[in-house]
Amino acid sequence: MQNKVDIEQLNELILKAVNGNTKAFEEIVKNYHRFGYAVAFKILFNEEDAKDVVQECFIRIWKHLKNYDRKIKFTTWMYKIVVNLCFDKLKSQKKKRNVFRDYDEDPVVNTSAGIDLEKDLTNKETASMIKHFANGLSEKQRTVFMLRDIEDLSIEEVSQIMSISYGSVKTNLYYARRIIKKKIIEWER
Amino acid sequence: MNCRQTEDLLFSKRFDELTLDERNIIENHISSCDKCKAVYESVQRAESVVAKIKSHNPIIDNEGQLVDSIMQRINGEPINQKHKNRFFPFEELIMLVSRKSARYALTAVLLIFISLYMVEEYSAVKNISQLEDQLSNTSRIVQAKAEIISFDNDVLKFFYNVYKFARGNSSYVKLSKDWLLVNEKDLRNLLFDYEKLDEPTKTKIKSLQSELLNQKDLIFSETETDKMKTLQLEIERLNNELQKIKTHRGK
Repeated sequence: MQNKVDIEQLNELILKAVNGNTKAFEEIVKNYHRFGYAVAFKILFNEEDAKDVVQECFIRIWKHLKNYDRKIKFTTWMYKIVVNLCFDKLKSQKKKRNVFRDYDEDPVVNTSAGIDLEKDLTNKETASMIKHFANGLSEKQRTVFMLRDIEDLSIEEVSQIMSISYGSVKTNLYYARRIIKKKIIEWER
Repeated sequence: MNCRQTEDLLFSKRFDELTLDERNIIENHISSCDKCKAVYESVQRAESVVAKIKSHNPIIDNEGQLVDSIMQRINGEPINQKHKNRFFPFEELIMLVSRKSARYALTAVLLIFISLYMVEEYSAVKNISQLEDQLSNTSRIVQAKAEIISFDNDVLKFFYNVYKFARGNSSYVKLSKDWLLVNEKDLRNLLFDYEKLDEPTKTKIKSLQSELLNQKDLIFSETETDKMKTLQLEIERLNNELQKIKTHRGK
């Protein structure tokens, strides 16, 4: 269901979708919703929020498909949209938290304890680990780390997706790695 | 490298990002520093935890429902028609060309057109060159004939007659001015012989000379002038066509 289409087929689907063909767009959704979900989940650590972002992401793609620049990869474009939507989501959550002081924040540290790394991780385990290791990092530092070290994108791609300079990616990555590695080492003890 | 530098490198870079030199420096250092060796091993384990997170593909609950709800919203969101029109058909053409099969087909069609064009141009050039040769030959022959007949060119005319006489050939020999010029030396020898001839022979040669003037083939006819004009017009026409082709290709 995911990424079965090659670049030519994808371009064809985009063309049809731009001309109003919803069936073609459904094919794009079916091929890329998992990708969008995985990225959103690793930034938001929440399944429902990640689903909301994926929905919004495809609505945005549908509306702006005509502006899609084929010189950049479709996935890079998607990364950019998902990352921006995640930031928006986090911003609105922060606002809510400030308004409702009694907002129930998930406990960060304790949920990641006792995870067996020999077994496949569940969504919940992955979320709690990222949450724990990235705790204390800024959104930017965490996202740079996620895109570079979890999604394995190049520094240039991260810079393009996050609309920040190459140097800024490197600086944020430097701090993020130091903190995350130290937290993992502590967590393992 | 000291402990601080080693630790900094280990925490800020991924193992797969370390250069060979950096690896060697770290390995040399940890071989003599137990504290950094422990850090090195911890960082290695930390990276394997990151790799574990990296390999996790989050599973979506009610995946079909997610796709359905996206599509329900899409169906309620009409695409901007203004942009749709702008997109078509130029973009579609690009898309079509971007397909491999279409690219091959287009290349084949282009090659056929180029070949046809080349053949057309080649044949046009060939035609022109043939016609030019023909014109040049005709004009040369006509000129030669004219010169032979002309009283201004008595020497050539005389040579020709001598040649015919020397060969003992009374029939018409087709020759050009070029031929006469090329064989001038031989002809001059004949002329020298002519001077030594007796009077009756000389008279015979002179009569041959006047006979030549009556030979139809050597007469500068109107028909040949017309032929030349036709050829010149044909060359002009073909040259114009060639010019058009070249201009079109230049564009």
